[in-house]
Amino acid sequence: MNASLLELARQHALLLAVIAPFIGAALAVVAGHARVSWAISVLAAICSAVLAIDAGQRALINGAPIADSVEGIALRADGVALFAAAWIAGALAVTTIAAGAFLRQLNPRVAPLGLALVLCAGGGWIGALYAQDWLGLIAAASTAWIASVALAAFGAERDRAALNGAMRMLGAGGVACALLFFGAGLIGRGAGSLEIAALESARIFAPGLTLTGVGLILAGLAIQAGIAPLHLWGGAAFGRGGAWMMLTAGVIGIAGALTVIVRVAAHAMAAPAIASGVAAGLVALGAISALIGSMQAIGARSLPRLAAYAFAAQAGCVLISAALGSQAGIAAALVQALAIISSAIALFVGSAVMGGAQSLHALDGVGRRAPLAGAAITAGALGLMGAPLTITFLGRWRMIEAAVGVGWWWAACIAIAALLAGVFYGGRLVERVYFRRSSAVADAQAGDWCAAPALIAAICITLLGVEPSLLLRAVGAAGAMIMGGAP
Amino acid sequence: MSLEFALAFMLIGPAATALLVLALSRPPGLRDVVHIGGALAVAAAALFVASAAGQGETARIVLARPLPNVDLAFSIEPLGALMGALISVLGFAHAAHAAGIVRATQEKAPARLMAFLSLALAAAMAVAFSANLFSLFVSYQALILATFPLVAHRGDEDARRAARTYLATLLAGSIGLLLPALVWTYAIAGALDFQPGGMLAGRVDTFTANALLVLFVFGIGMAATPPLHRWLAASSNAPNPAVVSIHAVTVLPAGGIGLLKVFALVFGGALAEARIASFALLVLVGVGMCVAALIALSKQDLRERLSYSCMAQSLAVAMGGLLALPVGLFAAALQVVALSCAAATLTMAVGTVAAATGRTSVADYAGLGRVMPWTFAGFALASASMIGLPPFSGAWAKLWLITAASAAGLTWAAGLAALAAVLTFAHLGPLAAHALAGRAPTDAFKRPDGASILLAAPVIFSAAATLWLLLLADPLASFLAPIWTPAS
Amino acid sequence: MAPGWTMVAELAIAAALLALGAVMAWSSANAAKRLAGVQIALLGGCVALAVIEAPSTLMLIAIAVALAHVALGGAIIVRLQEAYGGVEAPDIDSADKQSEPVEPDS
Repeated sequence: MNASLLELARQHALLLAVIAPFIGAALAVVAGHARVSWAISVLAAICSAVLAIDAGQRALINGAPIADSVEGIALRADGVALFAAAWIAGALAVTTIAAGAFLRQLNPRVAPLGLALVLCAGGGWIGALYAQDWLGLIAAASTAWIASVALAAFGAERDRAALNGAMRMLGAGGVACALLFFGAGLIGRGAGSLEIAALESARIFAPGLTLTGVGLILAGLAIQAGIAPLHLWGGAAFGRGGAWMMLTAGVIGIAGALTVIVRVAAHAMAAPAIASGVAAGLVALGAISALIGSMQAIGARSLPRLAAYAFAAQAGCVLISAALGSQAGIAAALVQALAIISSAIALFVGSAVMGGAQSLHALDGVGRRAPLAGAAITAGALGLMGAPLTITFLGRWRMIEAAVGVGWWWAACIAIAALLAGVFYGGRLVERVYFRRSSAVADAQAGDWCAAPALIAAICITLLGVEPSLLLRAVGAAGAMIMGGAP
Repeated sequence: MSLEFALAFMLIGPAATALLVLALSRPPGLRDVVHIGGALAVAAAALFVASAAGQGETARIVLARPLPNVDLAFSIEPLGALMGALISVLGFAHAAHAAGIVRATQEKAPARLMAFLSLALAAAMAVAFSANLFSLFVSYQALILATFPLVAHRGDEDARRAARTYLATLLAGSIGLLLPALVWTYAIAGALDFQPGGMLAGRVDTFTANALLVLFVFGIGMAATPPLHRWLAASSNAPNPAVVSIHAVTVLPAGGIGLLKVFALVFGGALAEARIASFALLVLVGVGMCVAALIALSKQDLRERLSYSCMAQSLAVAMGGLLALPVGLFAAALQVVALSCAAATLTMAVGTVAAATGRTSVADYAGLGRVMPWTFAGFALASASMIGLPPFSGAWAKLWLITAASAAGLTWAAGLAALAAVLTFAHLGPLAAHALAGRAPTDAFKRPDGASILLAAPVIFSAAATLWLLLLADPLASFLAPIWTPAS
Repeated sequence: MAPGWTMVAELAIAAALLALGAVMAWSSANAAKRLAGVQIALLGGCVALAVIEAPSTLMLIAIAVALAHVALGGAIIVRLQEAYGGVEAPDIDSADKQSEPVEPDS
């Protein structure tokens, strides 16, 4: 009985992975009690993660085919979707568990709603990754984005400045949604189909229109991913949005939007009529984001802002990798996206354990005050820096290798410049954690057990950096699945 | 004991010692015993490995495969074995000296200081035994991160500023220059494993060879090639055990070892393709040696003077390697040995003097040799070695260097090396002479019992090591020959 | 099925609406005007969908997204008014700047 149920769940894994967070969100709101809602949310997120990871593992490691799902919502499992959704769902589970660290800081009446929004954001990005057509992608991404904006406004419970960030998010995201709709319409007209995967096989009779459509969609997603210079909302929203915002938008939102960009880019790059134009756009945006993000991160004076700008820099490298249009490039982009997810979890959950440390000053001496949180923040910082034997270094190495392989030496230079900048902003964090005297103003706000998700991410950062064979196999399979015959 | 086990022990032993020192920080006696005992055990393992390497035995351990075709691997080969033995033996002397210093100066957080000294030793050993460029890079980064807390140990604003300069200079060099060189090499060779005769030999054109040589030489900032030498002076005001570690036992020698491995095992015959860069770099390091020795002459604080003196000696390593001749590589290897022994003796002696008398200025050294004869005997021997006076180890290194430069037809380079030796004499010779021959000060000691055995004995021990090349120069030449002989 | 001139003109109007909305949403000093800008941009998106005869589902989603933005934006504007006593962005920014945690000089 149980086995047949499990098999049934496996057959509908994509659909269940998408809707489990939404069902969990509804139940969390209905439950009303903060702790009960949290337990329900954790359960739903874990269900989604197990299903998504299982689907990814079956397809990418074992090579088993995953059936597309067309039950009401058209879903499709391509390589990038399977890999990224597994990690996003995993990150959703980890962040939902970590949310327990600061439940007591919130008004108990609104905590269930906050948890529901976290789940909606996660479910939305998983849905956008699995979406078969532009319609599903835009609906899911818009849902995730609106949930993130609402969550940003939630920070006003602690600090009214969160409202300002939420308003900026709304303004930027609203325009992004408009770009997505406009772009989808143009693609539908130019390529004759609204299916994402049809881009590579369709006979594109209006390449200019299609290219503009893809460009608008990528621009809309880039706004939501906080890619510089389109990250108008990043500093304000992260800076004062509070721990909820940092966790959800930082871990799920940025990574979700970024991996959706990689997915769209991979499909677009496989269409010869528009590939060169898409590559040029991605490269330009990626290079600008890597350079501007790095410079802003070096000058940042608060942890959330530093993280937001650092992620913009890392995201720039992801875009450049995706623009390579090869299996190796897509694989490098996925490894770097995973590095962003892991670093964000380690950094944000670690700082959430310290009571949602906002200023860099609050990190002084954390290594002594809260060793586990300090270790997690350090791992996150090393991930940002791209220190050797971390997953970021692996991703950057793969990017450089892929770039040099096609003669893009300048891309290798940008990657190294981003690494160099990472030394300065990541090094500052490590220095504060271990080599500054503890500040009296910031004491640990949560028990050390809450640092467990951050430690899992920290282990991920280092373990996958030291022994990446399984990861490389998975991203290789993902790249091969989505890019087909591309080298 | 198998060679693999000995190799693993040399890498893990110091790190385990660091953890033990932190865990057993009280009572101080136990902490010191663990620290010195750990260093002694590593030195014993290193001597065993060097002896086995002398008989042609090799071993390799692979810790991970973080990149396709690239292992995090360490292996025993003659150069690594020699340098491992050197670093670990000096590390043992230094461990004893550090125990004496932290007691005499009542240094704060002594367990933390000793733990990072041990970690730095582990990273330096990893540099010495690295089997490929990637492992060298990782070990190099680890060494930077392990020594950063040593520079920042005092925790005040000056120490933090110095530590930031230290970290920024070395990390910027390694990531901005060494990493691109690595990637470029990987793109050309498809692997990063060191090869006798050079992995790039026959694979690079003139432009690539020149560009790669520049990237490698500047990327290995630990060799103090100008303008990436600021970290050396910045670290000179750290606690004495940190200075000894950085200038003599771990960082500066690691820079020399890194350069040697690059010259001998990465470039090999390909150095001939990089004539333009070699020539320019030879001019830079030759002039740099003389300027550093001149700056040392202008410094009145002994710690600063020694840091520039060490820089001048370190540049001689680069000069030897850049000559692109086996004899030049041999001179460079001897120079690393000579520099480490002499610098360890001098910096430990300066620490001993500061701990016992509170004196750090050149002017205050007159006559101190009469009240601290053992320490200043070591100081004088090490100064003679730094200068290049026969029969001390520095003399053989300089002799081979000048011979190699002449053999390469670069008499001006030989002249610059000789001029640097004269300038070294100017900033160390009179100082040692005044200390030994001047009138003894009446109130020399700030402590009634003077310098303890832990402060004086390591100075004598490492000073004695400056004599060893007198006996070992010839055997070392055949010991190291496989490094620059291409595998058949 | 290359687009005809009429369609191009209609698409240009949609693009102009989107651009106008984006400029308003990103540069207006007043939060209510920003929300209006978002709506104009989304209207541009909807017009584009109508011009190219996109599936009705996509149109419906676009309208739902626009409504969600109005609802959420309206709520945030009300809360901004309550918290700051106004909805002018420069005033809010300066109030936020004053309450920004001060980072001690290192």
